[in-house]
Amino acid sequence: MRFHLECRECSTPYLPQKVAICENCLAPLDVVYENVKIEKSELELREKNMWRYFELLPISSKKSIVNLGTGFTPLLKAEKISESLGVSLYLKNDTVNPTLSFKDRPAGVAVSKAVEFGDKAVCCVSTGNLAASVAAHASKAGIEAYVITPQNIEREKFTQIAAYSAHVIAVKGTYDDANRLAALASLELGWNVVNITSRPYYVEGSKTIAYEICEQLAWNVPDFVVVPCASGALLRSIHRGFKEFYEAGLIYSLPRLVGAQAAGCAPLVKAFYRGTTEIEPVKEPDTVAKSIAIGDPADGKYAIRSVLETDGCMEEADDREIVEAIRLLASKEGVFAEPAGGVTVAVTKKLVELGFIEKGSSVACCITGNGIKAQELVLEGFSPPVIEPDIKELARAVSGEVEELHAKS
Amino acid sequence: MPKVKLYGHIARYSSPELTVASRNVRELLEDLCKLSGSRLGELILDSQGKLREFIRIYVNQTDIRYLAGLETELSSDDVVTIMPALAGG
Ligand SMILES: Cc1ncc(COP(=O)(O)O)c(C=O)c1O
Ligand SMILES: [Zn+2]
Repeated sequence: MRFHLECRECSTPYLPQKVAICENCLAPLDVVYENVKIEKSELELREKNMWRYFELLPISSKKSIVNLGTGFTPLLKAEKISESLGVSLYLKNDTVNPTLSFKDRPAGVAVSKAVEFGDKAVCCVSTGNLAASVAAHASKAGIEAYVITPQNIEREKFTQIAAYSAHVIAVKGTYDDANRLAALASLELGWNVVNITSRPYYVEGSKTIAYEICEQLAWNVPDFVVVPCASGALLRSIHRGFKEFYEAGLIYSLPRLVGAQAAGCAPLVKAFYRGTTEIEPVKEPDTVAKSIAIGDPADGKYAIRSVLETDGCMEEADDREIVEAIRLLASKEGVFAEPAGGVTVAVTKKLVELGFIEKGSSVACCITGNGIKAQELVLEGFSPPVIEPDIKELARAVSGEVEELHAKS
Repeated sequence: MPKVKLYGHIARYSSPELTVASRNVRELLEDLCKLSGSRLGELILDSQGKLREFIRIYVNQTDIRYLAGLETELSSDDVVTIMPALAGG
């Protein structure tokens, strides 16, 4: 056996079965790997997707892998924003994953694991992105997908989920209401709700973001990595990823981790500023960043610990700052992010202004979801001139604008 | 009388569904322990009588942290759900 499970609080070991919490203390379980050996030179020759890190993922047989080609997404230098902020800003562009969000990483692992468990159907509870990703992977695996979401997620996300032919159940209420229902489905009906029932495996997929950043910076790490937080699982997984590469001797330092939340749902930021890891849940999240609107973050305590351990911080951005950051990213760097991506850039800007991120630092922002999944925000106030297909009308429509356009002769 | 439903490992120490004559959640937990033994109590409350981190209690559909916590009052047709805090997101 290459790996087993272990209780995060009391260290009780478990066989790598479909279990998520400790029988003794009910704390979450984590995957622990035994004797991992990875050589940089060998790794660099492998296929450019997340499955190049197979030894560090909790799948027993390569035959079980459900591969949509996720991962090894570009790490782009954001030249213009870097210059204006006085830092070296990199964008880990997970908007270009197969279903347009980072969730293809954890869903890829979870659905592969479901195949390994012999499941004929998978379920998930989701603010939209995970649902699309689980649906797509289930299609590829030839099994059924049941996704539970809050009723109010973006239309675009429903469109995407419907295209993959998943069974969608929309719940009246918040993400947490949907989560409680899904937890009951796992407990009472025995469903494999991948982010609940097989969560120890699921979360492992996200750490490949950390591995890729190391490789893409030629085995260096940035000074800061800024991560959007909902449940906190992504941030903790990224921390684990960097630690694993550090312990394997592949990198020589760890980045400082920053958790970014939307002000309308920022229980982690609030706890961080109160100086505690005890989270006060938010009953009714209120933000345009719907994908990260989780009021009762399951891994909140652990995400704050990761931030403290790496001398980082938690910070929030309000809806206006998030939309501004989305526009900045799209108009200056050619990357169209959904609010969860905007929030990392907005928080980075704020922390540079506050001096927490020193000028000259290198910063990697995780851009975890594609803007096409949340279109309303940028379409607000958008009304293009509508003209006859006539050259004079065209000239009139752009008159007084951009000289560059007329630079023909 | 309020109905209680227990799920997952918590249900190991009790019958999964019972009816109790308790006036609030704290009293309900005490009554449960009297019925089902102290192991159940230890799983739910810490030595200071605080709700443990990985337990969630709902009165009908609402988390008691949004109500009056352990002091949340119960009426006769309430359904109380006690379950492990199963992570999602
Ligand atoms: C686009 C996007 N970014 C970030 C997150 C945060 O993930 P986590 O719940 O692991 O903190 C989510 C969660 O759904 C998401 O959809
Ligand atoms: Zn334990």
